[in-house]
Amino acid sequence: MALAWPAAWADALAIRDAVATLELGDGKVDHKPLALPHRWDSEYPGRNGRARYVMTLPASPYGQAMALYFPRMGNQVEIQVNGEVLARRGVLGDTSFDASKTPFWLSVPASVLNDGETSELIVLASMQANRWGGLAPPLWGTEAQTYPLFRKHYAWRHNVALAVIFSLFCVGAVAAALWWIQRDSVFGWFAMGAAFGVLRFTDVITSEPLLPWPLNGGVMAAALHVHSLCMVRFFLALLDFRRRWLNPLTFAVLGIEVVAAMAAIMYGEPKHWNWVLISILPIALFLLPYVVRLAVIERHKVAMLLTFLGLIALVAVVRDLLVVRISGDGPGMIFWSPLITLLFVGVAGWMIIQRFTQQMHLNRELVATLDSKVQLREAELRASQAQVQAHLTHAATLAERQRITRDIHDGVGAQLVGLLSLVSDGKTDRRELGEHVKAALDELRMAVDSMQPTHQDLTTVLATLRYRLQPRLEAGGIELTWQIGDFPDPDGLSSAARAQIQRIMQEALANVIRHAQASQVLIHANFDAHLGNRYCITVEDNGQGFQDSSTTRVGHGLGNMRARAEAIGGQLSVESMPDKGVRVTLNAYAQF
Amino acid sequence: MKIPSPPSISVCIVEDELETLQRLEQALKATSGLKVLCCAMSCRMAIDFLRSHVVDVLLVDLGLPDGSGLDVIRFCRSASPVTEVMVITMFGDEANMIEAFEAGARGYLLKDGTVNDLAHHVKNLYDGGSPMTPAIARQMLNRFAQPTRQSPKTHSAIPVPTANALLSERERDILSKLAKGYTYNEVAKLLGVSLSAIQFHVKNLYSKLAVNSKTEAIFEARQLGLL
Repeated sequence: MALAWPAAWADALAIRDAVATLELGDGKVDHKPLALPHRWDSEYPGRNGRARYVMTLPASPYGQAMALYFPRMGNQVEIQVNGEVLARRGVLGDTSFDASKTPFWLSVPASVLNDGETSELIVLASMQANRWGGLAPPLWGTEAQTYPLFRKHYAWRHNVALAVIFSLFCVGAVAAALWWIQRDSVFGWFAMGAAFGVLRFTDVITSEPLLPWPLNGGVMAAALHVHSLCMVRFFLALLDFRRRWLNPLTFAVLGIEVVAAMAAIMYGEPKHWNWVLISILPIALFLLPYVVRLAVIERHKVAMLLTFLGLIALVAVVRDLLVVRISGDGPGMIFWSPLITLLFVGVAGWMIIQRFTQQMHLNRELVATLDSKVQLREAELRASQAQVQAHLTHAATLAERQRITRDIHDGVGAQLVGLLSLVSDGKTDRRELGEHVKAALDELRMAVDSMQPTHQDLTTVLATLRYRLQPRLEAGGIELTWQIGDFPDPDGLSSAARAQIQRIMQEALANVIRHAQASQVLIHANFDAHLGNRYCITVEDNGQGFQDSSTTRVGHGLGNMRARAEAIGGQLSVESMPDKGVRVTLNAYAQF
Repeated sequence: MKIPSPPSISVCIVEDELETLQRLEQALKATSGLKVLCCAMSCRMAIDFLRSHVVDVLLVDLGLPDGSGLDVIRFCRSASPVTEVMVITMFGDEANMIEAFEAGARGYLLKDGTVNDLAHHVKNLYDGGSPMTPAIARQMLNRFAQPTRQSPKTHSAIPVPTANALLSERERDILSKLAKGYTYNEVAKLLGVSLSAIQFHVKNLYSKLAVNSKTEAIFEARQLGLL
């Protein structure tokens, strides 16, 4: 049969018969023979008590030192051979030590034994309820026979437990770190489950727990439940199972289980333990079809893996339960459950890493998408900026062109039109026609002048005007006195303002040439920053002047000049007395 | 073999517009003391003539059919440094004229001047006086203003050699007065010097402009490692 004792330790003898005196706290005493293994919790569930097991050890060869290997005993024991106390594990009745956590091996010196006769083995034990108290059949044999078995059992139990604790701790730490970086519930649930798992599994091999009994028992039982629930939530998170009721339900179940587990242990009422088990069942039943559907129908990779793991786990657990039930918990028993736990932790770790890298990739893609979107926007912005810029430049160019066109139209155009009418008349003499043509040419030159880059400054505008009109002044016998002060650079005027000033000056000088009959003209220009950045230009002649009548004023284009001055935010004033000449004063203001 | 020039002032006119050319020729021929030796209508014709002849005054239109008048100016300056070069221009647009001055021209002539004007100007130029508009004076001030200039090719500030580049105090004064519109006479009176002194300075200024531009060209060539 597959569940038979392995043949390796056939030499050592298992002592199965004992006469037990079982004492319960309330004074009830039971004295009877029984077969080991004896499980206290099976016989007296939920009760503390004491026991005294008396066993007979077969005779051993004379002078041979023997040994005893106790696979399991609890919770505090004292071992006597032939009345001599050979070992104590814990102090009877002191709950701070639990001997049931590890197997025990004891050497029995020959001096203690009865030569050639049987010896008496007495095991005194104190038990706490639900603490796996009792006695498994000890093995009697030589050191060579018993010690290797002990080592094997110990190593197996201890080392596997350590492996589980270590792996849970590592993967749990990784999950916690990842959860800190990225609040994904997958990581969070695993980290929490791992923490409680580590707590629980550490207790399995700890003989002297930190917490007092029965609190420790309750806490550890609760820890196991929390661990399991967290792992269930971990799986659900891996499957992206999200429902609004999931969290409230989880915490409700958790609450019930924790309370129930603690109550069960602390108050020694195993009934409560059953309630706990029952509460898990409906949840499992509800979720199972969902997971199966995911795995089978939708072929969801994670679901398939989890289902597979679940099946293996189920098989392992069932097998372990059967083994324990049927053949008892004996030495050399290889439990599959811890191995499953290791497998599970490994797979969980791999899935956690997977999920994290998946998230990283998603994030990177998102950033790349964002990047490209930003670049697109930037390009659009630049394009629209360029458009606006082009539009502004275009508008400025148009405005300038319009100004120039108007200038030419008003200047040369007017002259030519006037000239044409004179020519068509046939009445004007050639000299005068020539004058008009010269005037037209001057206008043209001035229009071209205004487009020169050097004309972006008032000094040059005035100077060039003088230079152009000087010949005509000389021809008319007019002596010009020219006084120009220092102007700031840049002059603070718009090109439109400069053009208007030029026109006004032209008009004023034309008046002097044509109407003043003067012999002298003074042109004076200065700039005063204190008077509001004011340019003041005066044209003063010693001619005949004019009467203060509206007709003469209009005829001399003074109204036009005044309008031009006002258009640039300046003022024009004309002073005259008969035979006292004319003084035209123009004020214009700069903007800095 | 080069033919020596006759006693009166010899002139060569380079102008592609036939009417203008004829008008100029008429105006100059009618004046005593001026002799028109050649009328060229293209760069090629002008340069061919100048290879074998020396004239006292060269009148060049900037817009020629087969090239720029600047080439003719440069050729003339190098082939015959004694020749005075004048640019013929319609409106006296300063941008082109400054370039012409940098190439070596000493003055300009307006196409639309009367007969007297033309002859007067040519004689004047030969005598050493060069007219200067306020705008040109202004441009000159700008050109000579910075002690360092930014090389347009390498975009680094290059110190222009001091000898011919900077203006003397007197020259700067003259230019700024001319830029304000004062005539030569008025400038002379304001600065307390003679008219001929002003004319002399102005002539120097034109030379400086040409030299300056030449020096700058050399400097730039050095910068670029061409020399």
